[in-house]
Amino acid sequence: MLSKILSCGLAGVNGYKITVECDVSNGLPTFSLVGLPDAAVKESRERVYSAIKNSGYKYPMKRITVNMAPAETRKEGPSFDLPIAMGILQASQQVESDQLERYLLVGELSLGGEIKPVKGILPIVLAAKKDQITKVIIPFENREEAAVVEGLSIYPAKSLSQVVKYFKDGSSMQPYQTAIKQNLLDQKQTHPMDFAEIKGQANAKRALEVSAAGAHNVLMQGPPGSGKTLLAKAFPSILPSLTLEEALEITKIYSVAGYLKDDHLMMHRPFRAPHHTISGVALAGGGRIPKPGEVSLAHLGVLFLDELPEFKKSALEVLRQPLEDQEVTITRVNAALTFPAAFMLIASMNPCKCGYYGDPKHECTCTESEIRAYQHRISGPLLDRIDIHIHVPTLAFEELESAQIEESSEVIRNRVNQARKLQNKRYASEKGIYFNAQLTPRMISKYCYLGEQEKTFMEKVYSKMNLSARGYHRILKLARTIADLLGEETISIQHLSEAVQYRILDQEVGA
Amino acid sequence: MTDNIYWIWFSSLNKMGSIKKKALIDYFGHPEMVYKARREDIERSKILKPKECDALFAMKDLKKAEKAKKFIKEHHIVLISIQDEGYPKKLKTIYDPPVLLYALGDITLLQRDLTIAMVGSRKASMNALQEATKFGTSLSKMGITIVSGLAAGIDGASHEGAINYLGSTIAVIGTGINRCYPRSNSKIYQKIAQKGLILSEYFLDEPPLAFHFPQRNRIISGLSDGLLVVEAREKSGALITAKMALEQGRTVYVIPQNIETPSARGSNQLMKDGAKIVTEPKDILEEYVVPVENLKTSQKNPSDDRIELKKTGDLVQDKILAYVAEGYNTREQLLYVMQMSIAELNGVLSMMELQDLIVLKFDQIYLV
Repeated sequence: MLSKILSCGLAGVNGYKITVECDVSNGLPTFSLVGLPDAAVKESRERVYSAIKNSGYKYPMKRITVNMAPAETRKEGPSFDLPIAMGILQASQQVESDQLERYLLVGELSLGGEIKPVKGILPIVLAAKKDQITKVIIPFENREEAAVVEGLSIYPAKSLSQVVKYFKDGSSMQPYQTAIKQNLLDQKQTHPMDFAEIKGQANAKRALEVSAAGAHNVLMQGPPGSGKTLLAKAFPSILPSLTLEEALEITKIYSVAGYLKDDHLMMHRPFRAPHHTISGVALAGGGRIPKPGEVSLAHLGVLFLDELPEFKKSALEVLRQPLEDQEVTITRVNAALTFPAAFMLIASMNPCKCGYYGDPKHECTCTESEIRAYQHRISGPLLDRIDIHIHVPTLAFEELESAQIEESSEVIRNRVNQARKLQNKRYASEKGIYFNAQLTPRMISKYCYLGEQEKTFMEKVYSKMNLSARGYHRILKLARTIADLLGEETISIQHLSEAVQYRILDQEVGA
Repeated sequence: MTDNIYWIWFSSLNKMGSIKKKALIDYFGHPEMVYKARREDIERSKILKPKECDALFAMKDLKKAEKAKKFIKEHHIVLISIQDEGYPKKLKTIYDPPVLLYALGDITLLQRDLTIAMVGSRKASMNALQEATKFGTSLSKMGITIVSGLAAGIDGASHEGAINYLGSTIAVIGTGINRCYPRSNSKIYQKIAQKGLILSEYFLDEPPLAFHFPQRNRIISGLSDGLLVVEAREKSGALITAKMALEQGRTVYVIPQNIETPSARGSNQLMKDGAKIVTEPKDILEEYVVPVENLKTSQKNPSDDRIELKKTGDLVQDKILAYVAEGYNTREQLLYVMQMSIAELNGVLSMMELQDLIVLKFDQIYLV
């Protein structure tokens, strides 16, 4: 007899429907699995055999053929154990239900018949919803993650026998519901770091505020111990709160990568700070069957690269495409996958090898050519994609001890939210553009209109700073964001002149 | 002035020091004689050791010199030998004068009465750089010729200050005269070649080897009447020059710098050791000339010149200028005293930068 069970596979961060067909016919007892299974899928034969036997059912001593359609995509992972087992049981008439084919099943089996959690539940459930499958049976431990998706019934199952019983009398499982969505909305943003805890550094804080408001990438330059890392760590606290869609999108990536632990829904923007020994593959993603890399794990959040010049050149250059396209495409023999990678880059660096070039208190021991070589480790094309560069100087003791009350992250975040709202409204008609940082030169001339006075001012800036056309555009984009922060539609000289201060490398490169 | 092929050949002997070269010239009278001398003659002079003799004879080839001679002619480079009239008299008096100088530019500068050398750190503080430019300008306005080494930092700033006005400046370089090191100074090299004078004792194309620079320093101090150390680290080239200047009997002047500045430790030490402290250009001049009345009238109260603040007509900017002059030179400090938002402050700073009222370097604010 033939049975058909629905299941789901993963391609990148998206699931796609797979039909598991099972045929049990007379003949010598064999088990053949077709449809490009990888090693973990092939092994499911042994698990399925033991699980069926140990759950008290009969494994048919017949010729068993299992096909996973579509047959041309490579299937991986142990999540097909449950559909295969149920397929065999149905084909051998131990489960008799016409309901079974309306369900989508995923789950790994243990030899004893318990159902184990699997990776990528969220994309699987989202794919089920897209294909209008309304009932999904998933491992019990994945229930919170699955229940985030609304509009379908989630049945968490602990064991194979529980699933079989369910199809006999329909009573052994109840659809699972959770208040997790409410939790997300109710949850007050808690961050490990708050801007109020960082003393001084008003300039850097303001630059980060502008950066958050317009999604501009930032490069901080300064001597060791000046607080660059601290500022970067506090940065996510001034980013706008996550919407549910964004949270789902991030969770999808973490679900596929297998990094979801106790949090079933990612409620914070990710902050990824890979060590500088990271390889290009780990940064961009890769593997035989491609897995998301750091740029994707930082999707909708922050990728912090501390000590930027210490990173391998090959690894840094990998960043160019995702910075431009907000996604990263990885091509391997088995698949070409596209992962989302809309992250903000915060980078920090010392001005030279010893770290103290330009510091008024410490002596720099580098030679001129060493300093130049160090600064040139970051390629022009990469630097071009970073809108803001600032100095973060060391603070004097009095400044650290000052009793001045610093602005809290919440206050700054409210301003950022306002500015982002303005931008969303303005760019509603531009497809794929949400922030000022994404503006193309054509859009800059449309949205960053300058009056006569402002134009003459920029002419002066242009010749004084020896700007390139790119640098000129960047100042306009930053001025646009500064105006947005103040809720003003026209860019004034005040906005432009402030923006100039966040472009230090325009003046110093080659110096 | 000479264009003698043997002189060129003689200067290309880069393995021989200038003391031995001078001794050979004194003994034989002319490089041509050295070239044509037999080995016995040279050995008899007891100037060279046998090994050095071998080296000399290995280099007896005029081809390179011929090529160099052509180049020198094409590029208007002038050769001044120690036997020439035009050879600077002050330089002749030092212990190890160079036997031949390559000169590019205005060689009459070598005959000027008053010459002051200015030296300092390559990675100087912003203040020191500004002082160097200021002193370079005002000293050259007083008719003093400025000698320095065309290095990065203070040297470049001193030249720049001098060349932009009257142009009486001499750069003594540590490479062949047709090379510019460091490359970042190539603009000022060109300017000095046109309006001032570039000097080198090295053969054409000679690379910037580390030992050239201390050697070149003896010429800097040797050419001058006094040496002004603007800012120097401990164990720096500027201190070597100061030591040589003292050995050669020149006066050493120092501009006092902030005692906290690490790049000024050496120069501040010089003051403790008794160098003359200089806070304005006329402090140097008064050592050499009797102050004339009209000098004072030409420059209204010169001592106020340094403290006088520019007026911008803008209240906020004036206030910032005043605070920066008082030493509030970081954004943090200005925010504190000005009681304005960082956004406003950054805007004003940009405007002031554009008007050349201030410079920002490594987030420190300096007056121009």
